[in-house]
Amino acid sequence: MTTTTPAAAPPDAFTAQVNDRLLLLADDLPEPVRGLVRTLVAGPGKLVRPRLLAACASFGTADPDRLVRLGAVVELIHLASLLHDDVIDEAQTRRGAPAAHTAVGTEQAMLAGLACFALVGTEAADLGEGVAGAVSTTVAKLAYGELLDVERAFDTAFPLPAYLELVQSKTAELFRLCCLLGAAEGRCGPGEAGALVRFGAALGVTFQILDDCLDLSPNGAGKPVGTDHALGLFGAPTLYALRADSGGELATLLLSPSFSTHDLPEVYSLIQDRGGLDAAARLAADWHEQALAALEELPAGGPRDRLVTLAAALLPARR
Amino acid sequence: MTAHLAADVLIVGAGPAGAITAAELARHGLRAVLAGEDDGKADHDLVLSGAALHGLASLGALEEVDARVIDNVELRLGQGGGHVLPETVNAVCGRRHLVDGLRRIAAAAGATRLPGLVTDPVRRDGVWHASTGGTTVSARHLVVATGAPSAGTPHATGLLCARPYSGVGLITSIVLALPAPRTIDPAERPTCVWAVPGAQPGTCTIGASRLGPADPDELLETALTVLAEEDPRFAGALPAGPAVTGVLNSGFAPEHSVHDGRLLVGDAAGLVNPFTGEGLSYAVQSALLAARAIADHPDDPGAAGRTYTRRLSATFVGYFETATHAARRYHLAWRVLVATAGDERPVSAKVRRAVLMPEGFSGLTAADLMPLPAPDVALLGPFLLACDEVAVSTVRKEWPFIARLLIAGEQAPHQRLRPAVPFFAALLAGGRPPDATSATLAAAIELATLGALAFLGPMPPRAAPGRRVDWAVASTVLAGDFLLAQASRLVAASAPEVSWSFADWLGELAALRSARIDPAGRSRAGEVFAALLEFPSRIGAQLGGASPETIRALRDFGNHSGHAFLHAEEVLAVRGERTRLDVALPGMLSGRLSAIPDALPGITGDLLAGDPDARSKALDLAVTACHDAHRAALTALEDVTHPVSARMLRSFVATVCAPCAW
Repeated sequence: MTTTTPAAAPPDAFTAQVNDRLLLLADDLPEPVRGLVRTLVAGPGKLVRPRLLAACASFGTADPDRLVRLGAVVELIHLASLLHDDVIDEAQTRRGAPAAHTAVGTEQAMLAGLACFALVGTEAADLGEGVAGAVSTTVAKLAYGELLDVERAFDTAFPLPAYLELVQSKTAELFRLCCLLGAAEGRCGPGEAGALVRFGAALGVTFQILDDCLDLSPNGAGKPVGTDHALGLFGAPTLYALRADSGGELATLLLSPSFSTHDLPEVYSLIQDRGGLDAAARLAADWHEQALAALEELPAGGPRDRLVTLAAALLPARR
Repeated sequence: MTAHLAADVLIVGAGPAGAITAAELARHGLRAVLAGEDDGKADHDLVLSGAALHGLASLGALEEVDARVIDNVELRLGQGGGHVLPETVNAVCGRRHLVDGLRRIAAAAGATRLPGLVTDPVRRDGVWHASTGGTTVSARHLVVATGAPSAGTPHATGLLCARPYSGVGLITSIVLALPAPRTIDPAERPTCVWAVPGAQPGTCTIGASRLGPADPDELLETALTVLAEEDPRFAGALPAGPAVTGVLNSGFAPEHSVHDGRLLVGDAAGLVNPFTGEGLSYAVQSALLAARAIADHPDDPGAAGRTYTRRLSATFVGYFETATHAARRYHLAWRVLVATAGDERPVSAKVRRAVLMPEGFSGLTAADLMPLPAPDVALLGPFLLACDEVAVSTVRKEWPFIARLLIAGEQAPHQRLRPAVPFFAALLAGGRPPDATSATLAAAIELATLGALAFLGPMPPRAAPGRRVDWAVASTVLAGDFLLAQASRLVAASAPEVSWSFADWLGELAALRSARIDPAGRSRAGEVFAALLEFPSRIGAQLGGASPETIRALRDFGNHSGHAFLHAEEVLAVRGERTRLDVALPGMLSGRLSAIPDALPGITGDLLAGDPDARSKALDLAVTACHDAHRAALTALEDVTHPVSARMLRSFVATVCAPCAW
């Protein structure tokens, strides 16, 4: 099955419906959680994950209402993770607004994240056993990814395989879930579903590697530069460069207690000198290729083009 | 002419673990040979924890080893003064005294002692052969108690040192110190330090351990520096004997406890705490488990090995069961312990105890045991064992330090206050016998309850600004997310029909706590606790097929029990006793856990401490509220007709309310 269901909404209408669904779900939450979720939903999120889910579903026939509800579930998982990540990282802003914990305090923000995860659970259970099972597995992997992410802070010897495991658990797992749920909803055959899931996982890894590169270079993408380095969260370019840091200058600078974003230009040039950015770009390209190779297994046509476009829109913007 | 000795069990290694194995085997009527050299090691004192004391008492060995009881453990985590760990009973004795005493007990029980170097045992046709001195020994079973191997798993191997000192003013306490990290670099490894008072006034033994390569002299020097810092009792310490060094092996994993037919016990199995260097309690317990496994299968060494592995797995969680991430998780645990040193929140206190102490208390509880008739224990015990097995296996690989919260070599875990008990009793109320799926669901409920404690307790204060991870806050979020997510996954996999209710319960808990901490909110303090116990009772009743009236009765019972639990906590806290959640009065009040400020507005821990009238008023309030809740729970139980279910639940709530018994 490669035809799009006639009832499926065009992409913009779809994201609007997902947003509405999120707001409707938020109505069931008590204050101050409701307000926090509403602020996040109203912020400049691109709803990448629901769009990915819908694009995968378009390989078959999906019920449009269920698709909207599933889109809201995957976005809500993302929002819940953001709430908790911001508590851990002490982030000051999120989506252009003050981060939740700065507005309502650490404990309320943490409870808000918990309330969102709980809402994910009831909504997923409503959508069926298969959805509940897949969602709970992913949320468990995300929680493990969160652990991996914190414990590697300031680790200048963090090995690349461990980095990839982290990226797969923290970021790619949710992309993978979007494709899995989309494929299941579109009633794709096992071959197509398998290819879509592999596409999602590889796309997620690519996305995160490029996101890590973004922490180093100001390029107007709107993300504050150097935050991750200040927090001791070293991404692919830095980890590659550290492996070539025989004199230890980069490691010493990165572990300096007085490190600030003023040190970033020097970090950038040390990483550049040690070939970190090139190596990370190659790694990203490898994973991007894997994602595209998975797409090659899918029938040519509208749905596949839609995924190619989605991936293209997601990735180059982040280089 | 060599003599030959045919035995049932050959035990190689005649230290504490070997001697206990031999003694216990002989007590079971098996012919045990205890072989191995007398170590020429210099003597020093060591700690006998509560778990070790319990094991030694079961052999009648306490008098024989001449142990001196020490009531206090001073815990010094990171900078700042130490604090005393409540309700820990330890003893101290000389290592030589201990070993000699245990060997005498083994001999008195009938074990044969063969001193001297033992040849490497070889197995032919299912029988082990070895020789020592002029004697050859053959035996069907082989137990290895030779201490830590020098070439162990690299990530779990380090150095242990101990040395006697004089000129020290340590009399009534054992000191355990874990210094603060000096850098933010996760590659840094802690030096763990302990000191125990000696038999002669003014003497003590100081010990230190460290993972990775280390120099013994430097290690002991660091230990003394750490102790003498801010503690004048150690200022004049002078060495009073030679130092003893050994290999630290913390690489325990149940699946490696039987190696090629040999049962490894104690240090040989890697059963040593990497934070304290403590291994004696594990040596005692693993020796008893090995001996009993062999006694259960005297003619089948394979079955004995499998039984031993299974029992170890149900009793201990290692610190480095998987090599991947072990070093990073160890660094995480160290930093969290130090960052939460002054933190009296339930989860911090429980983690501290579970990670540092050989015996912990699982779940919600302290030391209270439910009195239950033997047939009820026989019914409940296997279910809770299965529940623990699922819960532990769910988290032990990924996060061993959390798994230690679930099992910790404790006694009578099936008689503890834990949410799985009302869940089981509620299942029973419908008349349908609980099955394996229910044990998985019980595990999910217990994991979720632990996770909820992370989210529903007061939050730790933010760490001072600086370039660092805020370990206290971060670990709270991580542990909560991890446990709740694992619990939800178990539910979806084992009882999908409960997924919705389970998630709805988590949402309810979040909402109740959120309303409770909202200054404008109007949530009663006990409601969070009521919801914590209402869910297991309700879901158990539903799954067990109970009638609507019984389900309603059990919901009410759960609710009232939760309120009773909180008020009993208040009673303990106001009296200054240890609470089940390990949270003291100031923490209960400032964290908005307690209902006392609702009735006595403006009350604080300081006010209560300084004002006997206010104290007795608060106590009266809490006792009355606890009695009311207890009575209401009992009234609800009148509609539960299943006699065993009702009896278990009565015992459960009576134990909850025991601190305010009327």
